[in-house]
Amino acid sequence: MTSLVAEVQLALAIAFDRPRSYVLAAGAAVAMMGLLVWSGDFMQYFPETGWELDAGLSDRMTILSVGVLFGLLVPLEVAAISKARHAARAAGASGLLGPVFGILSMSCCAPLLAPALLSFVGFSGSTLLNVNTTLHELSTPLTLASLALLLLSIGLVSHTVAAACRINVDLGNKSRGGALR
Amino acid sequence: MVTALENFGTLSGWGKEHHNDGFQNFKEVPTWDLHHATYTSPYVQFSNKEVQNHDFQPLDKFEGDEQAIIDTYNPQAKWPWLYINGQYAQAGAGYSPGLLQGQAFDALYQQLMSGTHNDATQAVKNEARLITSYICHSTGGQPEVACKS
Repeated sequence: MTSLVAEVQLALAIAFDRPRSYVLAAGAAVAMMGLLVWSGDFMQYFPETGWELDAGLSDRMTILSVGVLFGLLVPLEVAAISKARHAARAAGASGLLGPVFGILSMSCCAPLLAPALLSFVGFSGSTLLNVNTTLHELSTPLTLASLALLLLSIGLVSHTVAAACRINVDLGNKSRGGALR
Repeated sequence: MVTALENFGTLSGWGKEHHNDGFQNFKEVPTWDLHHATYTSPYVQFSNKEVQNHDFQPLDKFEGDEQAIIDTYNPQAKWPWLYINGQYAQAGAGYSPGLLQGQAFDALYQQLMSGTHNDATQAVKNEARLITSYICHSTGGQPEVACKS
């Protein structure tokens, strides 16, 4: 557990070594929160009172948590991609699974996104009403699963990024060793 | 909607209801319970379907033609949803529930009946006027007493 935390810290330090990473993270977080607000139909306009965010406390917490985690994940993914050649070899399957779990958390298990996605793939309105009822019953475990998948994705991508860093250190040591000989 | 419907007929058997406290971050919002209500009108045929109860369990089943209408015109299943004669559809509330939140049904009903002027009653009346005008288009302007005002 300690090594995992250290790995994530190292990966975050690598991913956020440039100012543009902060811009990317903020942009990704805002975009994800915007998507969730739109998908959940939480932003409403009324002629008398103007725009309102009509979301309950748990929905607001979910939107904020998913947005922040997604904001952390995107710069990590970018860092992983830029180090992909070394990382894929060192990290094995986790290099591929990180993004996969990230996408899973945003699709199958995010109760706020599911209705819009199902409508997009052709579910009918009356079917969706039943689906929404089921989703509401399962909203807490689904939200927790979604957050867990995002955390898993961050952990796996961090492993990839940290592994690439270790390879670079190893390569550096080898080249220094070669020079001494 | 109830205020608008009463311009075209008689609604009876209705009850008092409220949204769950905290739903969409609002306090309790008073509303009508039309689950056991009956509506008689020479101009309008009215069907009301309550999709979920307070525990988010399914309540009413749709008739075949209602299901087809929802599938065609409300593919994202937004609720509340209002559909008038194949001519008008409205997804979502017409005014912010925040204008009514925390008020007792009886107090608000009394304000509406007595003609009290405040943000809540004005919003309800504006919405009723809008829905009345939609229904009037569908009934060909009948009855005149409702559609001329």
